[in-house]
Amino acid sequence: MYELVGVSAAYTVDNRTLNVIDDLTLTLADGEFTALLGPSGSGKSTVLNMLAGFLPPTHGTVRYNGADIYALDEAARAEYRNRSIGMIHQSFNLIPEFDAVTNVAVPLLIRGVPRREAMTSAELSLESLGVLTRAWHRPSQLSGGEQQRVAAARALVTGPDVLLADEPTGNLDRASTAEFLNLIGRIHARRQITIVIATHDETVAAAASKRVAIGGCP
Amino acid sequence: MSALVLFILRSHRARAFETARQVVVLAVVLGLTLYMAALWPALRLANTAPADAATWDVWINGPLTEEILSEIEQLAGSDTRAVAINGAPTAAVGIDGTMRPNSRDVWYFSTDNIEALDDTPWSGAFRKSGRIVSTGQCGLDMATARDLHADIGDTITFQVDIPLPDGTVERVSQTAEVAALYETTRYPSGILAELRPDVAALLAESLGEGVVASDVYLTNPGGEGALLSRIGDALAERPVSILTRSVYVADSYRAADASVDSGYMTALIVAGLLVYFVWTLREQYIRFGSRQRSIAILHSLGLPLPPVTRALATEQALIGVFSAAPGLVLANWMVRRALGYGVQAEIALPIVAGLCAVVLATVVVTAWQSARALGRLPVAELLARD
Repeated sequence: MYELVGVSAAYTVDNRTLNVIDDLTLTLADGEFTALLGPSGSGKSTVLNMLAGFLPPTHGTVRYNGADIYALDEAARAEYRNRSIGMIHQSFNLIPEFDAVTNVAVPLLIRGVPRREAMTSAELSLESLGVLTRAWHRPSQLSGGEQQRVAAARALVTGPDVLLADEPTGNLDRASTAEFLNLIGRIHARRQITIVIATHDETVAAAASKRVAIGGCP
Repeated sequence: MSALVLFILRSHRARAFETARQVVVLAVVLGLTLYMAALWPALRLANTAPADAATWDVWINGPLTEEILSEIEQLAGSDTRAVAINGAPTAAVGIDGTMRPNSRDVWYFSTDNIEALDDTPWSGAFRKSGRIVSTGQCGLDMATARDLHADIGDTITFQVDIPLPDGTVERVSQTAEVAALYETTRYPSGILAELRPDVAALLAESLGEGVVASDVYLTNPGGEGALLSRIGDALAERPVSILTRSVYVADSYRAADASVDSGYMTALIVAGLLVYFVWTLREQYIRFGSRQRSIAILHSLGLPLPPVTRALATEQALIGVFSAAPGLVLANWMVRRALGYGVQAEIALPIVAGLCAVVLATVVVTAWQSARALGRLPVAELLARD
């Protein structure tokens, strides 16, 4: 369970401080499918980055299962990212030097899983998302939809408790978006993991069981 | 294999040409620096040696009998280095060290090539065997020896056909270990092989009645020129020509000249090392820039950053080794080529140690720079980038 208590976040641009999130308090229960909804620049990604442990809040605390994420040291926070969360980004963020299956195996390799075992798990993950036939292709050889599926396979290969997705359909066409939402819905139904999607798209947000407006949106 | 190592290896495979180019450039820079460091003292010697020689050396040319040599020996004293040769300018029986008229040394030198031996009265007198088997002739000046892959310490065998005054030829075989003869004079450095007394006696006999040498070279670094001038004056009435007289040059002038040269040499070497250092860090900076998004992705997947710093430093160390080793080989090859042209260049150990220190410094700076850059890695920003 996530608890954001009185969280604020600010960026400094050209010596000016921009308050992106101001005193946000939010609870995300285990197994909940939440959509953070808001226009561009409203701070959805900022919230997601704070949940992922990349961005310490300027005020307030971010707790995961009762522990303040930013009170952890760097190694513990890295382990939290590796073991507890999976992340999907709008730009997929696949490593261009690796083929699809190696990209998916990376979180397991970081965890210290032997390479052969990690590759087998990665193949299974790709198979479950219907892109096993593209396992040995580089990201540049995959379509946007395929890249997003590979990114999802990578996010799920470790069996995380939480899936964070930042505008995951931003670079997909309508058909791929529908396919992706269908996939996320199936994952949620099957695994009952906590899913948090940041989106500005009402149709994407509609797939979630809970909607949280960020930046004053309904 | 960890994800990080796999990533670094794959990134090099993807940019194999770039990596190879970096290593080649660094190797060439290091090689040239080493070569420069080795060559400079030799060039300095080449530039200043004629002046030094004019200052300190005397070349006495003419039929030299034992009587004349004894006179020279008495005038020269024990601290004078002398070499006496006989026959034509290119083939000689010599004396190394203080004057020893009954020398047992054989010395051949030629500034041109081994074929020059054919033009001498000793044509056909020297044959080689053992390691030196390619041309049927043997030259023992430094350049020729290098061409023949004969190093100091090698054992060579001469087969000497000695023409005697009665027209007969005495053939004698002799095996000898090659040793250095000269170090710093204007005359070509030679390699010395020692003959048996019976061979030396036969050679002396072949010179003609009473003549034991045709030329004598004298050098006396501590003599300040006066002693050698006196020898020249003493021999003025003899049937020999004094081709070089000593001229006094103050020690202070020579020391100042040497220090200016050493300043140039240091500046050149420092410049070479600086180029290597800056180029290395520039390449490392570019490499890091092209990888930082991938590193951010790995970090977002749970990779802690300290191992990244260690991996990048290790990578830099390997690049250092893979560029330094060929650099050393390249420099060594060029130095040997220089030796082939009679330039006595040598790669000094302190210079190699200095280069190792610079390679190590690039590793340390890389580690420090990487740790700093990774500490400020804008992970969220990099992950949001399209």
